[in-house]
Amino acid sequence: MASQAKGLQNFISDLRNAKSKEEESSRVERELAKIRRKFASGLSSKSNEDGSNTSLSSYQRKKYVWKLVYIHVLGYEVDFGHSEVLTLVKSNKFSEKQVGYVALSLLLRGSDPLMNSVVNSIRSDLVAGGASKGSNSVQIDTAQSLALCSIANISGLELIQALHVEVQHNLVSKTSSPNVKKKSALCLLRLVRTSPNLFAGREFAPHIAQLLQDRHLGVLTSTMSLLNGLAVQHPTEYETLIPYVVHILGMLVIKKACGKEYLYYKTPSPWLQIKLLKFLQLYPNILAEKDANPSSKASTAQLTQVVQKILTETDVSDSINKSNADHAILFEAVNLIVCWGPSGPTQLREAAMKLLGKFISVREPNIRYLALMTMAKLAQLDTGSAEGVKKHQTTVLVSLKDADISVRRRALDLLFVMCDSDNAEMIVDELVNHLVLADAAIREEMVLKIAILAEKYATDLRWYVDTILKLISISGDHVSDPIWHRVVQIVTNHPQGDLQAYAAATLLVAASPRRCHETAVRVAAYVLGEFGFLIAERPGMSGEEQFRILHQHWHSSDETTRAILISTYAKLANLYEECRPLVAPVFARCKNSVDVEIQQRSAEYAAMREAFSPEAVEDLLREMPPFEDKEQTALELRLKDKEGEDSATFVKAARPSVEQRQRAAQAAAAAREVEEEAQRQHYEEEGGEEDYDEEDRLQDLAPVGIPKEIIPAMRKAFSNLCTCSSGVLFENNFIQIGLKHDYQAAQGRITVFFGNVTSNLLKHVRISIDDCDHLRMQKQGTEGLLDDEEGGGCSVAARTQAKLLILVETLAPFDDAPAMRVKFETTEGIKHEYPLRLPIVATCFMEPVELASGAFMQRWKSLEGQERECQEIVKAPQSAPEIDEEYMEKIRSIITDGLHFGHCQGCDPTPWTISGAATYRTGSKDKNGNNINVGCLVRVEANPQARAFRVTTRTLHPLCSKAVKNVALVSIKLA
Amino acid sequence: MISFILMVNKQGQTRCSKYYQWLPMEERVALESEIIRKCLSRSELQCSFIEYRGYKTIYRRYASLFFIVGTKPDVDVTQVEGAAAENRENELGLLEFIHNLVETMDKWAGSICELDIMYQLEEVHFILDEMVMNGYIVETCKGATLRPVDLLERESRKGEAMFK
Repeated sequence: MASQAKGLQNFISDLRNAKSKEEESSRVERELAKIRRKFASGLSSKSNEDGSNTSLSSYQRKKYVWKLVYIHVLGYEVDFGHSEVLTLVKSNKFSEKQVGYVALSLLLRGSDPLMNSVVNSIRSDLVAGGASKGSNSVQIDTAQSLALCSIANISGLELIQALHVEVQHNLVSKTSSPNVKKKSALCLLRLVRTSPNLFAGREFAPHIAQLLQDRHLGVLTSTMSLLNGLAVQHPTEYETLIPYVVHILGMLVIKKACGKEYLYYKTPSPWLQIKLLKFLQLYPNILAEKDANPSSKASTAQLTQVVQKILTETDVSDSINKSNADHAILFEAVNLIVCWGPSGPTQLREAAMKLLGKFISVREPNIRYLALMTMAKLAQLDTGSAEGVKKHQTTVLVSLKDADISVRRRALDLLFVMCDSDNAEMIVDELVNHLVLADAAIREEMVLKIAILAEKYATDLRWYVDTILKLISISGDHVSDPIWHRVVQIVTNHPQGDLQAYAAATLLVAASPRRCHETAVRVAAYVLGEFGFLIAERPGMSGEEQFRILHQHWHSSDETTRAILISTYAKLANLYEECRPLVAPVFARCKNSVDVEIQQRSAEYAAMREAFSPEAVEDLLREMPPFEDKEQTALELRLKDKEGEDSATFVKAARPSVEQRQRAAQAAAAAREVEEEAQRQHYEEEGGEEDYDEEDRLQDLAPVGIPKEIIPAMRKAFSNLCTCSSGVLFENNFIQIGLKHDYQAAQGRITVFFGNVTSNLLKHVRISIDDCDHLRMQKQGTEGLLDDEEGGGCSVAARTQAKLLILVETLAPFDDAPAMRVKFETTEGIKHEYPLRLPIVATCFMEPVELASGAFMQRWKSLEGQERECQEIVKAPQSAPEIDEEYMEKIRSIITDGLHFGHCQGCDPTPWTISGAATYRTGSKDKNGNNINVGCLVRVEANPQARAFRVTTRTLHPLCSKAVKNVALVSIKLA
Repeated sequence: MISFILMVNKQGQTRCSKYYQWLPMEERVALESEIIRKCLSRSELQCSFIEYRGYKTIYRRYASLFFIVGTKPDVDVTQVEGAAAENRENELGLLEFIHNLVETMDKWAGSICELDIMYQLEEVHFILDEMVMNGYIVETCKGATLRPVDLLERESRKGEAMFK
């Protein structure tokens, strides 16, 4: 062993004994100062032309350079002494040269300008080994190796470009020793990587072929690295080398022909085998080529034989090293099978699948990790492998809970890849459940993947919205902006069904609690601003309520959220008169905000009403148009950033699922329909009335909806009808819709009249009512009324009515009202379409119960608890008189007559409380065949000073509590 | 490709490091300390692979010494396609390569320990240079690997010692 310099020894000992990082660094600083001084001393008189100090002895120079190397390895910047390193490289003495080259490759960067001055010296080493004359061939060889090594490890472009001819020569020269050859190969690889155009690929294939016939396994190993690098860039030009590679593989695997020194625990050089198999993975189609010539046929036959042997004969052995090495090869062989895909032999694929299935449940964590990873690749194949993978779903789910984060990541990836339409719901739910327990390191990744899967495989987009909401509530911090933006995009782009109303309602509920995640507030704010009007007539979801629910988060929100909230407020204020006085102070305050965006938005929105005409304001605050569907969504891009383009997960994410295609087709069909409709109308008009003006024609394209000005009146009518047995539901210049309803236990009978109030005929009057799970409905109407085909429907003459009779039975508690769409066409051909709601709410099915005060209190107490209780405070309307006994009497009649509750007189100690009890009757039967009923209690407490009422409901079913509370609130407000 | 090789003691101090891709010093220190922290905190029952910031790290523990190999996707693909590529290294292969490295060092210094690496850092580098070049395995035969070190010793006997 080489003896060490004493100074260096001492220095290392000092560092070793350093008790703290500070002590270490002060020692290093001292040493650096000393070395700098040594290098600089007497520089002016005795320096070389390249700036190194000639007064240093060889020993000193080596010692100081080594110290620099050591300091560098410890993680300190070393920015001087480079010229001394170069002097060592240029030296004739072997020992100096060696130190010089090692230091060169560690301390200097390839692009360092100093490198230029050393090029010639390296070149002479490369060509003949520039060591001192008379040195033996071993030394020449070693000097060459050293030079190659340093080029390969660090060199920049200039250096390798200057020297690549020599390197290439060394590689192919017959006189080069194996040692030089193998290093030249990796040196060239660097050239191939950094400047591929410099390197002529085609002509080089024969040289590689020659190198592949070398007997030296070291040469083969490095040649294979070079070949892999070349073939990745130009696969076709190296295809001819496949037989050579297969031959070597055959020698190693089947004949086990390998020098003793290259046996690793009796396995012939596993690393070479890995590289050979990697090369073959670049040619996924070799087994598919039918018209292959006999020689290549023989080689593919040999190849399958080799793979077969690896697959069947790899076994766990006593030595962990042997076992690892063999499995390394095995996994590479499986990778090759995955590459072949369907073109490979089925039995190999099945065997691989079986092995992986075994491996994912072994104890050895490394094997489990790799098996999960490889299985993810296999699951990507289209041929039945996916089915095979699915069998292991339960095992993979177990791995998701593994103690090891690396294994968990792989399991997550695999689940992501194996997810398809059949098991998506289960996998996503499982992932969401696991998210609660998952640790921070993996959460972000999980959230992203769940979001992608939920979008991909949602058969019902409502499920997608629910899933994302769950993500926000479980792990809101990891739900990045692109994820919630995507929700907005999807909701906006899919008007089919009642997704938009559903999303608005769900988000409103999600934002209701005082504490909810900021991301939830953002989505809710945006979606309510856009689609809040769709749910405004539902009880407890009026514009005012929407504002109240959103605004409670104002103080805990940051600037970005506030900016979104402000836009939403502007939209709410535009739609609902009663919101304006609420919104105005917010804008007034924010006009002075320090945040520019908030300041600008609030100032502009506040001034808008005065500055523009109502139509212009309407235009400005209209819903956003559908978003453009991009090729790659932001989520996919994120995944790509994280995992790379070739990763199995990304490939998976980029491929559209059946559901996505269906949705896209639906959207396209809807768009086409609108267009065709427009065109047809266009023709009709052309034929009919030729002097129709252009402007009117444009207006005809889409059906006329409910004008915004009558929305408040409409909502009031709806709320009235919830507690009245008859009344007008909707009224405008064309049609009056009246309604009569009465209920008996779980059943109800609703009659709806559609009166034509114009002096002309109304054509194609059509009604459609959405089915819902909790109501069983039977409909019967004027002939044609329920025929929801385009062009169908019945005609209603002037001043006459069409009639619709609905028989309903409730099956379960609910808290919304069924949707009804009314469509008709005037004689001018203008289409109208009004989305309305039928006032069939939970309280319709109540049956009053008379309770003595003791019994009431007993039940009241027994129903305590978060889920069962609902409470809300409501202000008496501005116009109402003072709250006195007369007023309370009115409230009482609301409870008894409107809500169908029995008044429990005994338990109201003061005139300011009213308690009621009722039974909610459903038509569903329990196990014994009895109807299921839900007991409901309500209490209204008035505070005359504050002019407010507190409504508390307690029932056995959370939905019941909510529904009763909502109806009570609305009715009290209208009293 | 192999992007770096680290030898670290169980206190987490780097005793030898070799990089095959240039990283600025601050980045290097930050990366090293984070990866070392992760390796040290893992138990025997967990697998030997860690994924961190685009690196797949394979590590192995020998008594008080940790050997850590960091791998990255091959450089060229990154440059050509402008996108991150798949990491094509064989994890178990590298795990056993570490063992091969340790066996080689055992053959050179008896049973290798932290002190051997500290005081004979230059020779560790010679050995590493023989086994890995430009981020790829070049030699796995112990005899061939140790030849330059043997040569050095012969030279030193001839009076041209490393440090004299």
